[in-house]
Amino acid sequence: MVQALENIFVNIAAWTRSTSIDFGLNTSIADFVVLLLGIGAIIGLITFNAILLVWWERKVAGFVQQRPGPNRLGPAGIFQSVADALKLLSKEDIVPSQTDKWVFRIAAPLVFVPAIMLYAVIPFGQGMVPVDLNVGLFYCFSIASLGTMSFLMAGWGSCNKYSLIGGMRTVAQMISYEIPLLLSVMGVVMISGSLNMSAIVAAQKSIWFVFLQPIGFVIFFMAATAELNRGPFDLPEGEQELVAGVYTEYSGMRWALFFLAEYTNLVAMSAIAVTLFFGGWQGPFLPSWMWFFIKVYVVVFVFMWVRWTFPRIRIDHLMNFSWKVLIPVALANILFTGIGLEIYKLVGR
Amino acid sequence: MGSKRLADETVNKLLKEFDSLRHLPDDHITKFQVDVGDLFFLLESLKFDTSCRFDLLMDLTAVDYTTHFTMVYVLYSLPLGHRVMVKCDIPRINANILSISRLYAAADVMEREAYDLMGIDFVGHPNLKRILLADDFVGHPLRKDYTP
Amino acid sequence: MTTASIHEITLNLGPQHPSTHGVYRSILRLVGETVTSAENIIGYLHRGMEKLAESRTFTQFIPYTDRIDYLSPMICNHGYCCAVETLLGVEIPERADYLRVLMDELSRIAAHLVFLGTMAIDLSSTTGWMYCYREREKILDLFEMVTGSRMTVSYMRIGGVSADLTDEFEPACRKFIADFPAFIEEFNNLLTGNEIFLARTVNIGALGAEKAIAFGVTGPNLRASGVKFDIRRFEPYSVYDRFDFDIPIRTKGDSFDRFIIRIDEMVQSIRIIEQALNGMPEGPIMGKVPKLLKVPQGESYFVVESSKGALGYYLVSDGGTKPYRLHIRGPSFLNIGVFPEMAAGWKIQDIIAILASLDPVLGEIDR
Repeated sequence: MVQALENIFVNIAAWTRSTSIDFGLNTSIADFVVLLLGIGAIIGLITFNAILLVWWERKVAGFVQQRPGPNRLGPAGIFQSVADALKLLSKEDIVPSQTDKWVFRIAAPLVFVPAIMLYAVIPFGQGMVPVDLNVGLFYCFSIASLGTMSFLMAGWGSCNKYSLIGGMRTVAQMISYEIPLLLSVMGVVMISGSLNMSAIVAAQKSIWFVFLQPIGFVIFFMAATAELNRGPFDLPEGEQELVAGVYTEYSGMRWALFFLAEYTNLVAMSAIAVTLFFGGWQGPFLPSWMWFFIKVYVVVFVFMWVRWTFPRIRIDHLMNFSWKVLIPVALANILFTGIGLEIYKLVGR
Repeated sequence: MGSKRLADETVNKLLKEFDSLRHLPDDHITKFQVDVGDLFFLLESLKFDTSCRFDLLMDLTAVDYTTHFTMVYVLYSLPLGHRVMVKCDIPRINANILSISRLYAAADVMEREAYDLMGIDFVGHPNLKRILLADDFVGHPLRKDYTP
Repeated sequence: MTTASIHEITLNLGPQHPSTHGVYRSILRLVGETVTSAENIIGYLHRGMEKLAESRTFTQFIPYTDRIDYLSPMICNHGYCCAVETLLGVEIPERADYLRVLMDELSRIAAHLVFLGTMAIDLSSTTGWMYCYREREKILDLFEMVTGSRMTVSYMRIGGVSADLTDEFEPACRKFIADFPAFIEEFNNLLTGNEIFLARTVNIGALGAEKAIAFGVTGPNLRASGVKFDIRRFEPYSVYDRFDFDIPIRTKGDSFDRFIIRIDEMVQSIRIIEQALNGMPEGPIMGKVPKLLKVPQGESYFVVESSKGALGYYLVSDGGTKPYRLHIRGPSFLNIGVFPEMAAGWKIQDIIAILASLDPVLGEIDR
């Protein structure tokens, strides 16, 4: 029974493929059809996820702040997201006259693109990687860094000083924190010996990397919070200082797209964290993909918990923290991991 | 209310020093009336004299008595623990008086308010423009003859 | 090859802004993220209270005083009533005085809770804000029990107070003061010891004692700079001289000191409330005041210690039923006067912290 549940997606993909071939399509087109199915599934996942997280963030916030959170629409307020989506869709699309039209308009959907592309290499379960790249991890971080551009577009295109300051901050922040993000996972790469996401998961058969690389995980977590523009590193939005920072001139669905993209990114980063540090989809009894999602949502909860607890850090402290604290510690981590690996090899002989 | 009054010797000293100074009777606060000419020097004495040491300008306002304006200054001394009120009459037409913003930085905003609402010109104020009302407002509302 | 130059930009902060504590506006000149100058622009909440006072009877003006510092309305009521009573020469019953002090201190705690909450949220700790407002709800419930209103209470009258305590008040109030230390501890755990919070407030916006006095700054802002000046001790009014409480002082005068001192003041207010409840005498709550109130000719200057500083009422009466002139010395009006000097040289995020730590209330500033 568990086995059937486990292989459900693999079986659907195989059945689609065989059925397409039966209908007379040749194999490469059949593969393409399976690929389209995969893309559809990911987009469905992202949409479901965005709806879920909008509700869940507010529930977690309420929990931390000792209040119920949304509780009017549906049991425990689960239809709140639907109400929010309907409201945003019905709003007027205000594009201020002085903005750089195309830059302003494209920025919002554009921020989605890197976020969605990240899902291509994540192993959702056993044998469930959409595209099993050999340089999967490298691909992840290169794509993630493209997200910076859309924030700069939003900041510049808005023709608003608050947005500009927010945009500048975003670029500074995201570029600064990419380096510790990369360095923190180097230890994982060294231990597993591969950049392939499935291989990294397989290397955690006996022990999760979070126990072998605790400092690496902590640095990764902090750098990921900064990359996601989530509190305490949410300076680009900086509501209390810059009204809404980069998002000031955006309203209605365009504004919502930024936040949906943020949640998409959040789950993608959590998925990467789970893959790299928490053993991916591995776990007893339950199907692999179920374990994967449970772990991802636990990590998402921790991100939310941190956001609602801490105040915001100042921009120069942020930069200092990245360059003067995280990078040296990450480099030291790599050094000790290397030494540890050599000792392990010597002892193991 | 425990109103800390200025010591009698100090009052007498000030009365001797300034010709136009009069000590007005009041149950609750030491009150002086002085002419415009002596006002600034009196306030200087009150601030710097060792038996006065009024370092805090608590309030600066004006009252429209239809025939004239009366400027009211309320000073507190934190080190010596007493307080005083100084009143000074000025004519209503072309009402003006020397600004004390050089003496007390707190006077800056309070004089702007008096200018804004009463129309009194404070000579020597670094930035005398309206503070509470809109910049293009016409008239000075707290005057008794103001009509909107 | 073109040379790059750094331009100074002008940024408008407010009047519609999440962190300006109301309709306060400031014009900032920035080089990068650093503020080179800040200019205060106020008056967006100017309602002409002083002019209105001249066409309202003395009792009719009491609801207007609620709107001066709407976060601690009791204290504003108190100052005004005392200013009128000074001219009237009426004797206030002892019970009324105790009630006034009790309500003043509850009001002070409520106002300081708003300060803590807004300072927390201005630094983006939404949770801290929620916790403070949760406690404030308890005080607003207490106010509602006695006055029927949560915020604009209009509780005091010329000659006493308008209503006595109900039966449910005292147990609820005692429960509140018993639970309060636990809240302080919870709040300190959340925010006061937090590294990020300390980095945002310690040594930010230090205000020296001399400059503060020169600018007329009073209240917790002045006491955080090391000057022990509290109207309740300088010239005790009502029955404050019967209560045993300390005046907290801090020395550095930075934003963190201004934050901590208000926490300390709340603890002292709890002491006063407890003593007031314990020592409350029986008796009438209203002195002998005629229905048609005619205040004898004269003038009075009455100052009370509001949660923001020295709140002064200058009342001139011509012997009629309405004030001839009423001038209100709003402490926040002077407190933000020093803000442009304090803001120069800090980053945008710092000036938000500095502005929050000065605790301005627009009702007092603009009247």
